[in-house]
Amino acid sequence: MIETPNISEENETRASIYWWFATVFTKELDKQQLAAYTTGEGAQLLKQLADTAELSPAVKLVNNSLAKCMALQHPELELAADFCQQFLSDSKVGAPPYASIYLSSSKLMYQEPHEQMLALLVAQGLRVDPEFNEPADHLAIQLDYLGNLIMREDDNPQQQAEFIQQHLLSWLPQWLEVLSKVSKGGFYQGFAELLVAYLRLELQHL
Amino acid sequence: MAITRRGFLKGILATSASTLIGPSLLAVANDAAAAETAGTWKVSGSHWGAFRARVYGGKVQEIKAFEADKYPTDMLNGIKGIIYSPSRIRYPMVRYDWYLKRNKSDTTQRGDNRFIRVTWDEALDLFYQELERVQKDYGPWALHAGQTGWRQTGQVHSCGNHMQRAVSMHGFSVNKVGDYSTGAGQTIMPYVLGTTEVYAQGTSWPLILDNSKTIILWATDLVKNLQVGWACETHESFEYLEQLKDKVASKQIRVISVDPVRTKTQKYLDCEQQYVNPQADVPFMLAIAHTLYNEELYDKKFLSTYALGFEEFIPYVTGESKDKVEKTPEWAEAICGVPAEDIREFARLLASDRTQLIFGWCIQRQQHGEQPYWMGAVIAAMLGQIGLPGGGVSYAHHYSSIGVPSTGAASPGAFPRNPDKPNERVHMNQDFKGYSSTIPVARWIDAILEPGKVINANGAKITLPDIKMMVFSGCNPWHHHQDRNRMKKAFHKLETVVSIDFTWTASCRFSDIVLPACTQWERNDIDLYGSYSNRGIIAMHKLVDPLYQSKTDFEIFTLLTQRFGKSKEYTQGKSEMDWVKQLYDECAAANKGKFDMPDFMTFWKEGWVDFGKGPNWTRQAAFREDPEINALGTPSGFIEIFSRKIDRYGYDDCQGHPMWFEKAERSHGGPGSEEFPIWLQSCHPDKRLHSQMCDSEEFRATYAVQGREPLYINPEDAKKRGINDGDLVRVFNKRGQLLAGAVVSEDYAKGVARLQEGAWYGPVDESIGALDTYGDPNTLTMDIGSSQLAQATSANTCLVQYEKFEGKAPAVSSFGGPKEMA
Repeated sequence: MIETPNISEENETRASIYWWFATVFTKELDKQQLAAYTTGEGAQLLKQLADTAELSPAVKLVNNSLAKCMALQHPELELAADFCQQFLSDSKVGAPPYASIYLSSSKLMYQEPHEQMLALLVAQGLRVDPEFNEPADHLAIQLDYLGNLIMREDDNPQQQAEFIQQHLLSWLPQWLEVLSKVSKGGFYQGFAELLVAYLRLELQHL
Repeated sequence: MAITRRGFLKGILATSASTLIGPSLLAVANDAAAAETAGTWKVSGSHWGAFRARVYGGKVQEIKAFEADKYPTDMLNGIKGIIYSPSRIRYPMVRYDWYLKRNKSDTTQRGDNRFIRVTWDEALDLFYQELERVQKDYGPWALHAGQTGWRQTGQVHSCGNHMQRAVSMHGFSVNKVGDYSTGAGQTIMPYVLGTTEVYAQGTSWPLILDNSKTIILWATDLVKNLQVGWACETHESFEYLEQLKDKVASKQIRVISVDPVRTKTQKYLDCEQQYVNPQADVPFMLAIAHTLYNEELYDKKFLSTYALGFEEFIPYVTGESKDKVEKTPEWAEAICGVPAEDIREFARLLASDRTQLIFGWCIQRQQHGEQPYWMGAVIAAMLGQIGLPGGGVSYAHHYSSIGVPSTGAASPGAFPRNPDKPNERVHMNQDFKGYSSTIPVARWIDAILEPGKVINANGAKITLPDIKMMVFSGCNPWHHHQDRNRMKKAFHKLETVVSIDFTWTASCRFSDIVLPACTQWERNDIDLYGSYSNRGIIAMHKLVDPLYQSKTDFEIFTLLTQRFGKSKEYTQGKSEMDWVKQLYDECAAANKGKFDMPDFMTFWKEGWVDFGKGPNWTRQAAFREDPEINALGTPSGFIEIFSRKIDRYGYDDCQGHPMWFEKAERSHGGPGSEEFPIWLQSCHPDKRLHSQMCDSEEFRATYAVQGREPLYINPEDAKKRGINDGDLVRVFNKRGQLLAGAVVSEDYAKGVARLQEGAWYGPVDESIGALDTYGDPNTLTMDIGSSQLAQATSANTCLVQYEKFEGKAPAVSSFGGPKEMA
């Protein structure tokens, strides 16, 4: 456990929100998590985020597609199949969440964005958990890193803003465009829109 | 150590959110990662050759050809594109509908469907449960795990061996005989010359260069095909091709390429071409025999000493046999398009001095593909030079360094394909219910569509089994099998399909359980360097750890066999590196006293062992020297111009001696050519190994046309259709349709088009007849056996039409994972 006595409550919340987003884009929802988004703390969280005007359309998209999905026989499997096609497939048929695909001229995996992220992680004495075994420019790793950056003792809003601009918003709009073609207004498109809107909002306050 | 996440959303939410936030994806780094600066150089190999790779930051940064390879192929440039392809299979996946309903799933969804990710445990449980179900509910006849392909290189991880060993430990299943490359050739030639010939060492190049006055390259493109090898390729043949080029220039050797296409080799050597109409080589050859016979240019003494059946064959040529047609050059001209007088001249040239005939494999990949090979041997026998240096006939100088003198060193063995205890399988049921347990390789789609049907094959009666489940590992039948739309119908009948591969091939997209293997560069291995030349042994250092959730074949099948208590027998209690070392040590023991090999650790550090250059060798010289002692492997021990054995089979499409049979489809005035006038040649690609490397995006971009596979066409044909170089074209016949990009070239004769095999299949949707978006020739080819003898693929018996594609072209769908298209 890392002691972080000087972290403000606000920063803890902000970091947690990024970790929450990271979780969403890491793994399919199980039944329990899905329930949390329909009636539990997930639903509450979304509701509170929706109070912010900039975030409300995306939350609406999440909730609408969730409602449609819940009417199906196996909602968690339907969402898992969406997750699979949108994130676990490749750039021809899905929108895999890796910066390299959108930013490198070769369109290959493990390109410059991966190496840049690796350098940032190494500088912080971190690495990608071997269990996860993904390139460092996977969206979830970038978000996880951002959460850690926020939780650092030094107050570093400038660094956070730069990271959001250079490592996230540099490719997320492109990703979102591809995703919306595949997702067609689905649950994960809603979450992706929410993330991008949230990041833009953050930039205004950093 | 995980980084703790604390105080979730204080101020926004008071509740605990443990369900919403997963564990951290980051860990504290150990020191090792930071230590590297410039990276390390490692050695590895491939079908494309050996190379050194600079690895830094867990990534392959740079690849350069191994210094011993003086003629590296530019396909090495495609390797990084394979490792880091976005089309890699990253996780175990299962087709959604199959996941819900298993063997009762809607199989018409195959190719247009959704997948879900599962854990390795779940995926392997499902795989195992299906093996159990099929053995219990049906029996060994319902499982076909026998199809194999051009695995990735490496003797420990040879994927077919792993899959078949593991599946065989569980129970029996349907197997195959033959392969898609040489099915007709490898079946006919043992009757004629006593071995498959296609997989046999040939006369050494130095002897050909020193002795041949004429070399006939018969439908063979050496410069194109020698870029790749079955084991790690050395490209030593290119040194000899360079010398041949000089000898052609100085007119010491006359080389003629018999081909409807100006080949890469023809252009490289700057040699002559003898154009012949597609699929009409046999009439040309019969007319050559006619000339040799009538002008008494043949070697009677050789025939009487070394061959049998010339007397039974020659009446067919002279028109005194059943068909009463004399196979004159004039008769042949009408079919093969070669002027009668040119045929005579050609025959005289062959007989004038030392002549080496070198055949490629394309002309046996057609209907009646046995005939041109047999007839080639007959001409060689008539010339009487078989067994002389620079004379006779070869069927494989384009393949895997054949013709480079072999060192004779022992090569490393492989991870065993068979169970160690074949009598202790989980299921010992060997009752195939009257179905055949082995089928000709290319007839499995027939089996699925028409189970119980009895076919002839190589003297046997085969009852096609009712296949319910298939397992493929490193095998991509949705590239190499013919007639995609027929395959779609067959796959609707399969209950379960398992594919193990590293990239989303079309075969994976048509499967139910897809398991991610890692590439050969993510594991340690050992390989023979130089295929047939046995030049040395190369270390294959793991360049990077398996990416994503992929695993080595060794690990995948260790985990599968664990599920039925066989993993100890499977691994023999050895690790990957134990196996690498064992194969090396066994090889060193076999070479003891003949070839010095350092201890394993020294070898592993150095990266290779060089056995040097081998002695020159002449094919069939021993037989020529003493045909009694060194008899051929044919039934009689002699060259069989007439085969009593084949004659007794009584097949109408492959009789006692080589003959001309009209094809189901043939261009240039043949059957079907009025409606579909263009012959489609689907030869081995110049910039891939079959379908391997097609997914390497940057490299593919070096040859693709508007993102599609190039269709090589004749300028006059193109002009007639209003097609310019670079246009998109739709190629079609009654079997299918595809999009390709036009390359207009004088190299292609009128009525001839080339679409190289191995182009990945990507239909616009799952429907029968759907347009293929990239240009896979097997969307158009015919799925019939070559004859009742070999039952081999007939891919090159294929007529098409093409037109300029107008309108909005659909996006290429070949290089992606599974997709819901509807």
